[in-house]
Amino acid sequence: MALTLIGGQRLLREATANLLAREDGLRVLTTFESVAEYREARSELPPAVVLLDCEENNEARWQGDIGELCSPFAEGRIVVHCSEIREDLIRCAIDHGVSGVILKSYTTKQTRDAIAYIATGRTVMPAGWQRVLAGPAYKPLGLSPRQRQILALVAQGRGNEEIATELELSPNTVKFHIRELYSRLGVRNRVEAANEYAQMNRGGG
Amino acid sequence: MAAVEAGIAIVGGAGAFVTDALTWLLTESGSRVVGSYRDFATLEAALRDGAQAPDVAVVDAEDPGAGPPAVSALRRAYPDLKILLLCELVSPALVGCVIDEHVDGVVLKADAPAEMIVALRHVLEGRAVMPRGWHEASLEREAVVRVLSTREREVLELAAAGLSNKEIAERLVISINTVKFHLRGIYCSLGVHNRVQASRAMTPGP
Repeated sequence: MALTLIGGQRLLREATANLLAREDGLRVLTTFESVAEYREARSELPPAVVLLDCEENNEARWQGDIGELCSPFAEGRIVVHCSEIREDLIRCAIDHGVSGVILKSYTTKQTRDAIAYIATGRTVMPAGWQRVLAGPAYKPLGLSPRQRQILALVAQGRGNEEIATELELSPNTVKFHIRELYSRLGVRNRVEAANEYAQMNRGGG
Repeated sequence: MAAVEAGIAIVGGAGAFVTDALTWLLTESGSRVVGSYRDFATLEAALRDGAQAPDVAVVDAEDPGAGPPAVSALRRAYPDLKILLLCELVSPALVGCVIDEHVDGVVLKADAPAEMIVALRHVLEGRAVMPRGWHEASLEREAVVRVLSTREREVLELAAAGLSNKEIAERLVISINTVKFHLRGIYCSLGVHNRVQASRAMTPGP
């Protein structure tokens, strides 16, 4: 199982590489200072698993790193290596579809086992990872079911009259809902509302 | 196959034969099966009668007696219990169950028996494990969830599991009319016309 390590302090990165290389079935190909350096090298032998060291307090760095590594053309399975379950980091990792989150508190053997499991195409997360999805930032805006319903129709390009007929409401009620919708979304017209809706569905908001 | 040092309970398993096969498999590996139960109610009754409480429950996700409802009941009754689901396919509805009920692991029935033991070990050491196809199913669910309210999603997940309006109403403790109201909202948001089409958004396959 070929492994590549990216990021983190050099001393720790190389110590981790040495430690993991001694584990049964693991082979550490290379270690890289940064994602940029890794991309630059573009090795002929892509790793099965890329272990990305994410330092919690360097938010801009890990956001960029995860985003850049998890492109559709990414080679190998991307795994976040971090010290604690930090909500925004785990959420960012999930949103980008990483194959796993491994905590630095694991023993060498546990880390090895988790990497081996991930290399087979499966996913490993810390227990209770689901909690981060319940955080406020994950709730899709503050819209009522009816408002969401109407927004979906507005986004399809339907007119107030059509929406009213479809939902068995009066056109005035529809107008009322749409005004409230605009103010909650912070938009001024149907086109902006539709864009906001598309954005929500793309996973941006 | 290394043994798992924990008490395992098997819940569901589509018939005594499958349950027995699972028990045999786990016992053979040296692991300790503390009991096998047809459904959640049987497990509850056994524990009341003094049966040993399990550390981890292996639940058949597709068994009508177990499945997502048994998982919810288990989680409510035993917040610290580790739960491992066995399933044939990872559907968006299953992803919902794993997220809502904090399920600790999912193993495919197509996997080799040794894989289940490996998964159990991960789960007991505090890691959650998901099978192949997890990411794809999560994305499908995500697309559905973003246009539905929490309640609508709950109703849809139950409807997709084949429950009738009456059963959904009882499960969620709401009136049948409210269920119908939510279903209309769901059809509208998903741009479909009936519950079969809506359910397809929550189940795998074309």
